[in-house]
Amino acid sequence: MSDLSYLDTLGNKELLAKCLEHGLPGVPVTDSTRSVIIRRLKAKITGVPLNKSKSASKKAIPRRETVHGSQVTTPTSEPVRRTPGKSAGRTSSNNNKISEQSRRTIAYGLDNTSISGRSVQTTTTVSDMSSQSEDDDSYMVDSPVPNYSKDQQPRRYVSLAKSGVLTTSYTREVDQPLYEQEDIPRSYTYERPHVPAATLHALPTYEPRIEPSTYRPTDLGFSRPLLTQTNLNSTSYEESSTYNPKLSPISPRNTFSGSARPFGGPAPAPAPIRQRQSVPVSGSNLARGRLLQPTTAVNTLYPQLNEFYDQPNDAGEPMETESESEVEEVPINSHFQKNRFSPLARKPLVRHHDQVSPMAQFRALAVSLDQKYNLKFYLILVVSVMLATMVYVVLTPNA
Amino acid sequence: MSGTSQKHRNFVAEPMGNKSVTELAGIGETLGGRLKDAGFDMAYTVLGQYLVLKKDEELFKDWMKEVCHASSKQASDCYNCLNDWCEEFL
Repeated sequence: MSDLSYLDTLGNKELLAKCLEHGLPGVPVTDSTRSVIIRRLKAKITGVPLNKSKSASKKAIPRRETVHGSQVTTPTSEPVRRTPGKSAGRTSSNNNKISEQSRRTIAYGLDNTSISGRSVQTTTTVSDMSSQSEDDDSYMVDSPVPNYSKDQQPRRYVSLAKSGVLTTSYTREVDQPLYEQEDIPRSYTYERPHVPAATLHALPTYEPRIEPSTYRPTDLGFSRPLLTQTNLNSTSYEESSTYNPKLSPISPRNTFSGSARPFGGPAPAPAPIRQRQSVPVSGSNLARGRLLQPTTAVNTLYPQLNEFYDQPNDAGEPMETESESEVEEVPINSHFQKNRFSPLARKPLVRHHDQVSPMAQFRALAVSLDQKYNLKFYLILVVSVMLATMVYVVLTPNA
Repeated sequence: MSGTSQKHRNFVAEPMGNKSVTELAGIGETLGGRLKDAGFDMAYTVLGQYLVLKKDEELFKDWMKEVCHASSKQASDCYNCLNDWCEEFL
């Protein structure tokens, strides 16, 4: 202090010169400012702030503290590591840099949650990711794990696009084969009444297919029946070629098995149905089938009428022919009909024969009418009345 | 960073003219008496000292503390008052 005591003896100009020497502002030295300037010089020279200067320094202290904070962060080159928490305590000049860096670090933390040293490398990656993701900071946060983001995005896009196309295609493909197999039996049950000849033959060949058909006819009924029809037709023609000349009872029996199914119920096991059909076919199926034959194909819904009308006709020729064909057909159809036991299946087979012979149907109708309405009696009565009138006219003289 | 006082707003709102030193923010009767004793009875004389110190905050506050034994807050309020007034009217 003794060294600095000479300042008090200096003049105003000398004090001003001292202030300029030590870098203090060139404040004019007056009687009112002299004391202040001298204190300022002493503080500047000693480096220790005076009490008064302390008060000023106290206000500066927070600034110095902030600077001190920067000192703490002397690795200012490394602020990136400490950025998030310490940015607040730093000076405003550093804040900008720190803020930018802190953002990066945040992304780092997200990337390598605990990693501090690697942050620089990760930053490059993150920045790249951000640049790639471009706009959204949220993506920055979300993207911190580049692996996941990359994986998820391509997976989603690819999966969605491919899945959308592929799934549809697969579903269709898968469904189609299943339906084709399944549809064939379905078509048997439903389409045989529509296409008598073809359906009749097709039925016995594909029994297992019948089961699915009963369950899914409504789903893809249109496309499926077509496929089934084609299949049925192919099979039916092959069989029909062999059986048609004989008026094969087997084929009608097969049709009955199909037609009987809709009547009996939608889902009888296909295998048992065939078995049922096969057994009765060889046995007494001919009579029942013939009874049904005289009735029209449309009359399948009216088995009773068919029975009444057909019995006399069935006693006629077709019964014999059918019986023969049945005997012959049994070995042929044995492959398919061995398992058939249902008597109901035989009736529809006869119906198809009826369609083939319209004369027999007409005869059956006439017989049935005779039986029900006694047409012969009325005919005889009419004829007798006419004869009586003729006799009366002839015998009675006219006036 | 408390807001400015009504005294500060009133002083900054208009030219100081011949206002007493006590019209400055942060200077009451006590400090005003001390300043008057030191020869700074009018506001513009304090303004002159503020300008002589070249608007240096530390020097002005030190001067205030030396002349009238003002507290840091009182010196700061007076400095801010003169500073804002200078920004408004100089």
